[in-house]
Amino acid sequence: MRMAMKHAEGHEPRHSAAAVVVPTDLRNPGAVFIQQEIDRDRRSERWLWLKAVVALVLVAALVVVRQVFFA
Amino acid sequence: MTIDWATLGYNILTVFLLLLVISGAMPVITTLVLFLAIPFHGSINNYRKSAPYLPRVAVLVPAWNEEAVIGATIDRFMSLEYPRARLRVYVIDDASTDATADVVEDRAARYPGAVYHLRRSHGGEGKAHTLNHGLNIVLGEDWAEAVLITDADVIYAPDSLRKLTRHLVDPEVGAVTAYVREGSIRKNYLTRFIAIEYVMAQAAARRAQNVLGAQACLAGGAQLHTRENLVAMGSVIDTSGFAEDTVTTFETQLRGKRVVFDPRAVVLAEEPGTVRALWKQRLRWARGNVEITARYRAMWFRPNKGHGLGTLGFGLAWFSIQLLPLVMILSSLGLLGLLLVGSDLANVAFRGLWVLAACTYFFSIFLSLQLDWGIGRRTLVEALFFPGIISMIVMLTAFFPGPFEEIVPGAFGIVLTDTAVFWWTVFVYFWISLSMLGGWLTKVVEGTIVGRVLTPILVYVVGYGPILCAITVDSYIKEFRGAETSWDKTEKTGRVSA
Repeated sequence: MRMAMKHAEGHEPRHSAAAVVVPTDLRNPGAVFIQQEIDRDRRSERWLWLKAVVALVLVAALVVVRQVFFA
Repeated sequence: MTIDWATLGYNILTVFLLLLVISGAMPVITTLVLFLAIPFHGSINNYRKSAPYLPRVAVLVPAWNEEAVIGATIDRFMSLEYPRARLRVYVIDDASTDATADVVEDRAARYPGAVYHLRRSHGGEGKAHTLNHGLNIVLGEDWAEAVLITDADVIYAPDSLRKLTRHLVDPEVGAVTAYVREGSIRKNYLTRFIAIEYVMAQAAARRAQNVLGAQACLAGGAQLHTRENLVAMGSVIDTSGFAEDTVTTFETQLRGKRVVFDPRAVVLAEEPGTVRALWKQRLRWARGNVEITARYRAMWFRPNKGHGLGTLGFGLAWFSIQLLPLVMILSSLGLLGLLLVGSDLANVAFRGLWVLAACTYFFSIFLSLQLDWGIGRRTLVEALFFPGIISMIVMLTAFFPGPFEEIVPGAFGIVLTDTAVFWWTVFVYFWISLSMLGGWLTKVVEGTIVGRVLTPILVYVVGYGPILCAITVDSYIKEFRGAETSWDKTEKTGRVSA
């Protein structure tokens, strides 16, 4: 049956859930560590907005150069 | 009132030619929209529905004469950051004639209860047949809760399997795929082109497909299915054509399950180091896509509540690739036609089309480089010259008209005559089509005595993109002719770096 892990399998994390968990056994890192990993990956995807803006600004710079010097 | 038939005919012809040019803008606009969708992956993704979940995973590794790589592949699977008791590797030996069987048996003894050697008595029927042999056994038992279909030559990042399984906790998800990165140890110019291509086609485009709600293809070497998903498909992989991965992807979604791409689950794969090997591999993929286009003809552009494959966005994204060579030719013909009928619109249409193409290209490249800077910093030159040096010059001609029409020739003391300008314009307008011929030429030249030196130069001049378009044209021809559909395995040497 497909169920989320509620507890670490075999190893308890060394820190509380609020802190960054460092698993003692990477094969069984525990639910808290995996959940933190998911949250970290979800947060890191938000940087896509900044990356897209940087790309847009670079393209806009090319367009400005074209319009100012070569139009 | 009298009708000026000559003027009317001229106007109709002009509009028709203009439409041909505009057809060339469609794939450009589609690409732009796709890349503009990428930042939305910051909020439209599957992470909120993910949770810690470590199901029992059966890894299926089809293998035919893989003695060079199979041992290391098994070792790496056994060292994944995943509970050993929840991981089994089934190597499906497609009647190998080398030492593959011995290597797998050795690993089966080293990892008792975790590695299995499944040998077919007759091989050579292709990957799908080989996988079905394994699926029959794995799904015949009730141990596996999820099945990972992979290749013998790929390397999974230690945390990648765990990052894939977390999505399967969502009951709407039927399958998950990973970000396949180019990982050859001995890199050359071609593997660098492939590397940046994969960043654009996977890290970028598959994020956009997540946002659109439909995935085009589970990576052949990295597709994790729920047991239920495979059982719903009859517990078999399609064996009727070249595109079993895409069929599986489409069938999953047509049955109302979602296919998710996780950009943080990274898998390294060895890719072809020669144009000929690339051509062989991609021709198989392209012919598979032609088959898929025909097979699901009733699905395109017909929105359905159960899946996102019939949406306008997904349809445009799919056909932008499948019909790209055709619209490139139509667009060139439109521009040439406008030039020959003396329409002022020729220059306007050319600049409009290529400026749009340049903006789209630079935006997609600037964004892609940031998505995977590890690859990006090694492939800056290849990213810049992906469309080819000549196409870059054409792009710059459209973008910065002055320098390439007056300043550069003037610097060399050249005054362009009207005739020279005309033929330069003809070349520039038609280059987009000619570039595919150039792509085909790279394959031809590679087989000659000067191929070793000349092919890399030609690829940079003509571009990597046009080679892919030329392969698509070849796939049309091969499918039209009904050319033999033999299974050609891409040659692997085990040159993959962890």
